[in-house]
Amino acid sequence: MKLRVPLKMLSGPTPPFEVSRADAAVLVMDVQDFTTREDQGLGRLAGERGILREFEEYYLQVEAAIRNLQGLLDVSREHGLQVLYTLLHAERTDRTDLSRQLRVAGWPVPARDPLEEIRPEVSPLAGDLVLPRGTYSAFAGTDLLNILERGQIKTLILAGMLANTTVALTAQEAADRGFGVVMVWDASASETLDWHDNMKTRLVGPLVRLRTAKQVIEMMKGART
Amino acid sequence: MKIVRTVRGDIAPEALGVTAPHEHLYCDQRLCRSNVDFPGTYAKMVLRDVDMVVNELGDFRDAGGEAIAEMTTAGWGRDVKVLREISERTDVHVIAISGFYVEDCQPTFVELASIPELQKRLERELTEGADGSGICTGLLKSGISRPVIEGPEEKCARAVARAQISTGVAITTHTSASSRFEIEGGNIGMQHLDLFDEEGVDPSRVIIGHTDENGDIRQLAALAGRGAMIQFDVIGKVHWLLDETRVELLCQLVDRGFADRIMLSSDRCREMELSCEGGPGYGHVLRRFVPRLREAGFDDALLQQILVENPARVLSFDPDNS
Repeated sequence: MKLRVPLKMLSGPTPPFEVSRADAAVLVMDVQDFTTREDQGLGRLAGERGILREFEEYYLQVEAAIRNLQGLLDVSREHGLQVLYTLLHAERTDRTDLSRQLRVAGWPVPARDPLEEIRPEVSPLAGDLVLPRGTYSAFAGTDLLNILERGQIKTLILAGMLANTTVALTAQEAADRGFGVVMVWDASASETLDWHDNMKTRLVGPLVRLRTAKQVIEMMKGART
Repeated sequence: MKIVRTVRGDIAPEALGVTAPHEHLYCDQRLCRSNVDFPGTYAKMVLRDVDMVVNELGDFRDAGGEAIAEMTTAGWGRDVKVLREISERTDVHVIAISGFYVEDCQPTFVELASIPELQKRLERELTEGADGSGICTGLLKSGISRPVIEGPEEKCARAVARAQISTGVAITTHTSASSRFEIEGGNIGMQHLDLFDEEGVDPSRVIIGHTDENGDIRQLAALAGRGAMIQFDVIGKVHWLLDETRVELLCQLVDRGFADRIMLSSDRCREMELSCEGGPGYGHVLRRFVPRLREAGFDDALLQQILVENPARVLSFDPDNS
């Protein structure tokens, strides 16, 4: 069902965002085994409960999102944009360091080496930053804000898994903190396809633009707004 | 002498009758290049069942409809021979269109063609016939998918503008709803008018489409104030605006003196939207929306102006004086 959005119609138009090396960074969220593999992490949990089929649409999105993310990262690096990673991670094997919300959720957030946990198709390269966290939002449990401010970043190009939860929360928080956000919707995956549409409708607003990976690449090349 | 150029030949403007100026009868968005590699729930715009559409137009005719401007451009399934067949079988006047939809749906020749080459092609379709059929189109279209007019879409918009000036036929525009929150007023119409103004197009020959996807009376009045036609053409698609809101906006436009700028349609483009599939069908405007307008105080003369006289004036042109 398509959502009606009367409140959004009251907002002024989104200003253009710069996506150059000096202004923009790419944040890749939760593209890790825990969130992307049916036999690990959330997939295994769903299997144990007998509801893995419920995630069919999610894992369909995951594979497409990773393919699109690969191309986006290649071009981002060619243009010298800072690439940041964040992923769900427990410092302690008993997960007592996770946020209360994640502990209550009972998710088996991995405690292993973050670099081994990130999907190899989109592995970090030298110069990229990796920010493990035990919270839903990338701002709540990491040094992300300081990193962005130190780098004088104005635009955050955002993509990742669990898009209608962790990514959406981070996008809205980034916009609320004054960053322009380019949500790369086809390099992201939500729990269902309906939720993905819902997420897009929910996010678009004064400081959040929706773009495909191809469109962001065109923006980096200066070919499109 | 002014005429309206339909797929069955030229007719007098007075013969057009009650007109839906923005509908699809035969289209296939699967032909577009929009190759986003991602699963989705979006139902592509596909109408390929001629018998089904003919039956649906029976309801449109029964409701008082007499003419349709068909909005499918080359690039996503326009077939003027099929349109003529539909027109002949239903006795509904059909105006076919030349021009360009959004970038992903532009024909491949657009990429390398110059503006004058595109202009010539449009002029040929309007005066000699489209796709080697001898069936002429009678309207031009400019589609913009982005929050600014740029790239191939700008090139096409300029070719459309120049073809308008050389032929006299009207232009109808598309703005993509996905960009509406990035555009002042929620519709690319003002930018379209700026571009057409640069090219020398008379704004009264421009129909700004999809103006009821994002309601803002200030934007609507500003567009009408520049002399353009304001087309509410997604009537019944209530996720964008409630039909009740559309009625209220139309009342305000009439109160501000813009009754001669208004046209109404429903943009049917999927089988699920047809009445045989449980949708509102081509008859929605006449069967359910016009009664709401009557309740709001629109009398016969005002409805005649909006449904008959405005389309006849805008869709007609003088082929000997262009």
